[in-house]
Parts: sequence; structure tokens; C-alpha cells
Amino acid sequence: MSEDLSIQFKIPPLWETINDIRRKIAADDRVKDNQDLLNATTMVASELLENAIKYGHHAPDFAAVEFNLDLVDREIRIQVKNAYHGDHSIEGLKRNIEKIRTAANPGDLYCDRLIEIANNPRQTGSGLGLFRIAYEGEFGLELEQDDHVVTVTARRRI
Amino acid sequence: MNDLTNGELLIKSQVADGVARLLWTGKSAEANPGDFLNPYLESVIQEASGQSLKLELDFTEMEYMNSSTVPPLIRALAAMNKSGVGGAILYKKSLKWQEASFKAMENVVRIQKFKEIAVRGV
Repeated sequence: MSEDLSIQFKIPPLWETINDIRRKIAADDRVKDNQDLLNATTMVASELLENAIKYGHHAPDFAAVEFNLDLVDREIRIQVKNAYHGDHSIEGLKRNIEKIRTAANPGDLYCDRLIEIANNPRQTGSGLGLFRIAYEGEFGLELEQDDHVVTVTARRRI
Repeated sequence: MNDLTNGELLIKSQVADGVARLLWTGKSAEANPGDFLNPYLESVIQEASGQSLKLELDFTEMEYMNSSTVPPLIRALAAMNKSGVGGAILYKKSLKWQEASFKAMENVVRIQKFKEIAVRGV
């Protein structure tokens, strides 16, 4: 992994494109030799894109989901940007990222959520993606928002 | 007992020596995997219960699953416990993502006191 890596996409909000991005990351020589890092990176990219496609608002002036992956100076950074409609639509996202930022052990958040699912298996949505990014992927998470666009950034030192 | 194919996911079933084994291979990356996994796993658990079989869910050859795949698995564990179907979840402990995902599931089994169900790294 001696060279920097940068992958950018502006994608239509279609589920199939997540698989294409996962394949693109997996094929890159600079990450494919480290299986654990590759698995973590593709998982984080997939979970962030799934959230953006499932819960984003695909506005006429920001119809796409923007995806950036950079591997520079021994840090891997994955950024996903999408439009949202109304503050209420990103409240859960903000709350969960804040929980992760202040958690002593993100694994506890992941396990607690599994217990909630076990106790209420009929509820929709897993609500696990962000906790999984922090726990299993060991990535930190940040959120930025402006009027109608939210950017979630995941970072990990390697 | 039927196999299941959906997208890049294949679940192959095999019954031998009182154990129904579901071998999960490929990738589970659909938007709503509960739509097809819940009915499939419900029918498998019913069949196992009716034939007094143990149920083994083998993920050791699974390449990837998204977080939306986890609730159907938790739901299946709860249904196994309720129906008195014992068994195991097997994962590959040399794969870090599997170790993390299934260790957490092992905690659920312990905390929820699901009987006769083991989560084992191989």
C-alpha cells in the first residue's frame, strides 16, 4: 500500500451501484492484499451508501449520492454526501453518531441494539449500520450538514 | 428442506444424522433481506421442529452480509428458542468481520437465555 488511493463516484440512488463500488474497491491492488482492511473498508462504504440511498432525499438540485474514498498518509477516509429533507430526517443519524463519539466501547452499542431487535423482532430497519462501522470496522464517524445536504465521514488509521 | 437463492446469496440445505444444515455462501447485500429470509427461515424452523431436527446455520463460507441481514438472523434464533429447536451458528473465527459479528450474536444468545443454541467459531 505504498501509493495513495482515491476513488470518487457521483451515483444515482440505485441499490445496484453499491455492489459496483464494492467490487471496484475490492479490485484495487493497494487494498486487496490486506483482507481485514479490505473487508472493513467495503463494509463501511456499503453501509454508508445503503443509508444514503434508503434514507436520503433525492432532490432535483442534488439528485445523486456523492461517494469519496481516499487512502492518504496511512489514513483511510470514506465520505458519503446526500440531500435530506427536514431536520427530523437526520435526527437519528446525528444521535447515533454522537453516541458513537462518546461511547467507551462501540461494541456495547452494537450489542444493545441486537438485544432491542431480539426483544422486538417485528420492527423495521436494523439501525445497526453505524454501530457496526464503529465496532466491527473500527472507523470513527463525523457528520456535517448544511441547508439540505448531509455529509458523513468515516476515518481509520491503518 | 429447500435451498434459497437471492441475488448473490445462496443457502444450501442438507439433512443428515438428525441435523438440518444450512450452508450460507456468497453475499447478502439486498436492501430488505428480511422479505425473503424471514419466510424462508420460518419454514425451515417449522420443518426442523416437526421432524425433531437440530438446526445448524453455517456462515463459514459467507463472504459478506450487510447489517440488514442481522435482524432476520436474530429473529430466527428467537423462533428456534420458542419452538424448542436446538442447534448452532458456525462462523470462521479467522475472519475478523465474522468474529466481530457473531461474537455479538453470541452475547445475545447468552443474555436472552436462548436454550440449546450455540454460537461457535471454527
